[in-house]
Amino acid sequence: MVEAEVKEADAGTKSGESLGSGRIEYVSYKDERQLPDIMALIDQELSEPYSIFTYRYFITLWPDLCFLALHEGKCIGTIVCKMEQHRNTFRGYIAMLVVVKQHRGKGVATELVTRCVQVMHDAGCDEVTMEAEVTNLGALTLYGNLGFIRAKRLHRYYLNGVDAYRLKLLFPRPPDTNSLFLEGGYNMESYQVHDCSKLDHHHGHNPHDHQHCGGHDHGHSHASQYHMYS
Amino acid sequence: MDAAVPAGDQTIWLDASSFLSSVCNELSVGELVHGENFRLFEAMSALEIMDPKMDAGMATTGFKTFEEAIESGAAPIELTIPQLVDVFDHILACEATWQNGHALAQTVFSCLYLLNVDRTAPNALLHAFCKTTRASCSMIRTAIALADIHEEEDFITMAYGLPVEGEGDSRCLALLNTVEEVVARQLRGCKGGLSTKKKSLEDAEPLQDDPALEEGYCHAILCRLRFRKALYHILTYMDKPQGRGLEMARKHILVALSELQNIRSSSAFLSFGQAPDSVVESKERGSTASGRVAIGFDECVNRRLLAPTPPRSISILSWEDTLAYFEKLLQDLDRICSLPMTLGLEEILQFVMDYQKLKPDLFARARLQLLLLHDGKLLGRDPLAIALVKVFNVPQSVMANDHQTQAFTTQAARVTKQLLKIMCTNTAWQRRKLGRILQDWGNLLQQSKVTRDVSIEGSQLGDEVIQTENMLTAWVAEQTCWVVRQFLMLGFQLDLYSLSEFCMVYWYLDHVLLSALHYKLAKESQTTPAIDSPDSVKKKGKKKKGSAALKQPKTPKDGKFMYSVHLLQCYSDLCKGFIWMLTALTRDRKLLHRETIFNTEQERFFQRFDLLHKLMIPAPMSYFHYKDSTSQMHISVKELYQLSYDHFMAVQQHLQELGASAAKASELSAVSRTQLALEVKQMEQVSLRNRVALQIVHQVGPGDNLRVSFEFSQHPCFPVAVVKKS
Repeated sequence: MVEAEVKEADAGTKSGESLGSGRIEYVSYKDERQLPDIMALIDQELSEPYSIFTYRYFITLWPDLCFLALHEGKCIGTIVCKMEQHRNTFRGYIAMLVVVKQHRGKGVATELVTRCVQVMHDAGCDEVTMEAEVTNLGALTLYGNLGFIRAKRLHRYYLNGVDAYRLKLLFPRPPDTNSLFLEGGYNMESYQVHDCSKLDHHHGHNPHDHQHCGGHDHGHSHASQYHMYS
Repeated sequence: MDAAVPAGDQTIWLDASSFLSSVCNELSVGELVHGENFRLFEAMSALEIMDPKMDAGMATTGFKTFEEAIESGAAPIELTIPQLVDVFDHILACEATWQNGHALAQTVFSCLYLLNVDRTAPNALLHAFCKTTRASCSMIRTAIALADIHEEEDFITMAYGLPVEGEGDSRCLALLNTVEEVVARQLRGCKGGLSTKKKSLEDAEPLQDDPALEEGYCHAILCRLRFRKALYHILTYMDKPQGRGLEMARKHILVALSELQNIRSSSAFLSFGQAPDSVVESKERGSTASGRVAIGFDECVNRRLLAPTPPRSISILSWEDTLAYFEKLLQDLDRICSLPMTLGLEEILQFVMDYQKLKPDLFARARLQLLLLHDGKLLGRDPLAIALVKVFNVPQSVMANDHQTQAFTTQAARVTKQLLKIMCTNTAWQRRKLGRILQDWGNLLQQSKVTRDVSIEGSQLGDEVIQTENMLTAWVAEQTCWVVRQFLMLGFQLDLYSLSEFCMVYWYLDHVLLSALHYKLAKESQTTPAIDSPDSVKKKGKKKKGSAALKQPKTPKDGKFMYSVHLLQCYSDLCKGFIWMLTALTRDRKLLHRETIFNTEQERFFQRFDLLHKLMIPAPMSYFHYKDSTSQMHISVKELYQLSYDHFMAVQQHLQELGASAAKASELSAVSRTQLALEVKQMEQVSLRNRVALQIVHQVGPGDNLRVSFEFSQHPCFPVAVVKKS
């Protein structure tokens, strides 16, 4: 059964990387036979309880925003997201991100997030948002390294009473002559504005990862169950 | 499928399990049955029934109903005195836990005695205590609901069928007084020595069997009764509008604090001889003075009365935390009671801002808000519009005759009332709300500039109207700057900014501070301020190296400067100190800013300040302006360090001026005065330590041999640079 799953996964998008002992493969969600693993993993690691409906809602509607990290055929990390129009922005949302304890600190979470954010960017999202516990320093570092800011603080957001930050990443917009940011006479090159077209050559190996993420990748819940009910 | 769930007239029950299974087998991989109206909300609200993680009613242990618990003897009416003390203590712990945002059903009403207070009538002490507890909780709940600032804290005011009020609760004081008298007499009796005195018929019965312990238990019971009573009085007196009961409340706060001390001292006596019980979970042990688990509590008995959300397991506060909670609450309430009822609007805003720095809890903030805005009036007395007219100093003739000024005042009153209310919410929510009301302040500014009726121009009234317009606009401008400043500074307190954002935040904050200063200085020197450009003041400050270049104002009235001006100057110099220090450290490679693959600093600047760009005042500032102002490529790193040093030095000077002017500011409340004194010390430390850090980095050459980090160890908004060898 495990073997079969690995072979099926190979048929999807993948890229591998060698990270010390054992190879981590990243695959895109293919079908609901992967769902039990995803649910089991998230259920085990996160404090917020989700019903199967929640998983189906996200993964059925946005399968290309769900990735799995496999180690020797076993699912050791996963990410679940969505993207949709919210008022006048097209916004990506990271609902759940989990990596099992033994595989943390290796950049797995960063890789999963990076892949999703890339898909969101390519699909035309204006921004990406999610929540993380204020105590989850690993997650905060991870997202901070990718360009997210801590936009808001949410008092006692989670069931356990912990505060959360709402994190937001704003993608660069195409230059607009009406924008406040362009003032006559400014030479953009002199401020070393990052060339965003370079984003599409992104591949699995993220050089920023290893310097700062050691020991930091944690599983963490995002959408707070309590707030969905109120 | 029978009597347990009866079918209707035309219906029967059928087992559909096998039908559903075969239908499921017909579905291929990935096929779903999807209802059209089944969306995100439905998906996430769905609970899997009988899954204990989601279904609060599914916990299989414990009593299922209150009746079952009572029948099993879980809450005996006859209690020994030690047991009674434990019950009292645990109730207090439950109250503290409840006020911290946990469900009533799992806290206060986990007490079986409170679920049916009438039942406790045979036990006079228990009965009086319970009735007073219920009455007190009811008052607290009402106050919080009325203040309406609790949403984000998940304070649930709905009772869900719990018996939160009882008939005759208002007579609880009489009951308390009676039992207090009895115990007090008993105490006197046992203190009076043994049987050398003739026993009179009125001698009370001893509370418990061991004469040696009698005095101790009398004390323990008595201080708890008195604390309960004092708390009840505080609630009643603070509820009186317009601050009429504040003085009496303060007296009872003193009593409550003193009894709290007595309660604290009783712990040694009560826990004596208690061997630590390793079987009982430490969290349960912890919520009474004796360390024993109190009888008569069951968290699960109300599980069906909880909201339809997945169950939260909560831990009741420990005894230590309970005492600490009430102590802090009483002190926070005392500060409210000390608020002079003569304060003007600006001093009130300052008071609220300073009060919040002490991190008061929800009930205290609710009480404050109710006091400030009772009946929609400021301090329950003046309608806000009237209070504002006093602040605006509008000539009577204009107020009476100019329709637009009247309309403006009404609008300003609405927006100010909203601001006051927001200032009482918890800081996380406060910041978000402040961001949202900026729009209203922007609109208000527009409204203040509305062109007037041509026919009055040139007349004396016309001149007054124009002057009024300038004053109103200046007032809105100053207030808006105040709101924006609070919005930006709260970001530090909430830890929203990462190190790579500090420079831009201080830069923008400095801009806002200088705008605020512009309007304040103009008001101080009693001239109508130039509405259009605070930039003239700012540009001087930016280009000049060395000390902050703010022009000295004209002779202010009676020679004293408002302390608030000096405070703004301190903040501004601190900001500048950080801007140059951060710029220099970055260029010097002692601070590394990583490039992020998905966006740049420009996007983050936009995210932080876009909200402010919708305002006219303070003037919107662009990212390019920021880069331009801070690049300063023609200045060397060492010169930048010096520039930063000079600004931190200038702070010292302003702090002295601040101290002097604060001493003369008679209108300051005690809370603001204390807060200001504290902040002066904090800023001194920030200034000093950063200068030391600058001296270190100034000596060393460029490169990676030193690393600099920033810690908010002194002041919540201004950090101290810490230099380490890397």
